[in-house]
Amino acid sequence: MRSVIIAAVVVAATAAPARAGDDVDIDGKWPFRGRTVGVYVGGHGSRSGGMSLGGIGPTVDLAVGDGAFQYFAELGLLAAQARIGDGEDARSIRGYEGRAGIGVRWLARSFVMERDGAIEMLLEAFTGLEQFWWKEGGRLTRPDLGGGWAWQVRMRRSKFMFRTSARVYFAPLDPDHAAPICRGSCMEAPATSRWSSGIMANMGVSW
Amino acid sequence: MIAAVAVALACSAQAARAESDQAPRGKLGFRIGFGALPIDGHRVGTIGLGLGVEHQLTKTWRILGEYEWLWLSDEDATAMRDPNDSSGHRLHAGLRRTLAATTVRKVLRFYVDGELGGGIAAMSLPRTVGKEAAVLPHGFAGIRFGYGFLQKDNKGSRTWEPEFLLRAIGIPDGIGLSFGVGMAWD
Repeated sequence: MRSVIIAAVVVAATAAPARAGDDVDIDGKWPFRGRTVGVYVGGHGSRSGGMSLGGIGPTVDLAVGDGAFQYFAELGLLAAQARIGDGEDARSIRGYEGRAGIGVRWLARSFVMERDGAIEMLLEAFTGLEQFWWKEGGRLTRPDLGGGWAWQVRMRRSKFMFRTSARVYFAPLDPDHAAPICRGSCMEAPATSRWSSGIMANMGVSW
Repeated sequence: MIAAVAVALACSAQAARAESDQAPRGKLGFRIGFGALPIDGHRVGTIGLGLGVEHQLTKTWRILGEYEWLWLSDEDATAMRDPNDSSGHRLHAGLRRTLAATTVRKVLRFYVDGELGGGIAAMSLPRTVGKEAAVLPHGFAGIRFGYGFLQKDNKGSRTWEPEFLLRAIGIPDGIGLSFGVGMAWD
């Protein structure tokens, strides 16, 4: 009996039931579905204090829709690279990056085409945690915070969304945390900020 | 470039008459732009992620405001395999006017617009430029061209416009250029 209840709860939690308002427009926009899954490929890059950091790879997101808003949690596993220092003294190291984040999307604009599909603009805000593991040893952990825009083509019947996003993010670069991989070379470059800012982009599908 | 746009704006009354009645009103959109600025004798490359709003003033005039986050790199240093990058923020405000437009079957509108304006940028600079940061006022003039799909009876957005932008940006050290591609919804 206990396993049946657990199974029922799991099914109820993972199914994507049609919400009562799914077919009701909000100011001419179709509301987001109750639950969606997205798979994307993308990457990011940033630079500060003589060190550039970046990664490229797949990201998965789980989202819950609420009218014109969508709340999401995302998880990415990326191939990472850091370039440390400038000029002839520069060196590159490689590794892996895991990134987990949460955020919210707002359906800012929606151009509905003959009721079959829509071309839409979204604004996003998010925060996350990045963990880098370097092949030559050492780790780097940093939080990030950012915002951006996305555009998507949404099919009404199939529920598929083809989405591309571009984001700007900010992340602190703590010299103490970066020291193990910098080996003294990062902060010797004139650091205009101990915050790195960078670009993050993703492209993929959601359903 | 600036002179050409100024002349075009001044002479565009005739062309504006051809504009469709279905011109968009207020708009929200985004753009990615690529360009370069001359700063302290260096050619600083820019990649911009922009977000813009527009408000319809008259049938052919719109006022615009934009924010751009910039990724900056010293193009000369990059050519010497010494890459170094930085970032910045840029604000634009200006006016935009339809120079020529035509609408096909009331659903597809092609247009060429001119724009004039100014703004300010705050940026950290690539290490090789020689100074760490700068605050630079600018003026700009540009041409936008694109097409828009129209849905007059939509409750939501009535237009969706992919567009291209070629913009000359004048700063104290000289004139730079930016080319962008973006989309806007009303």
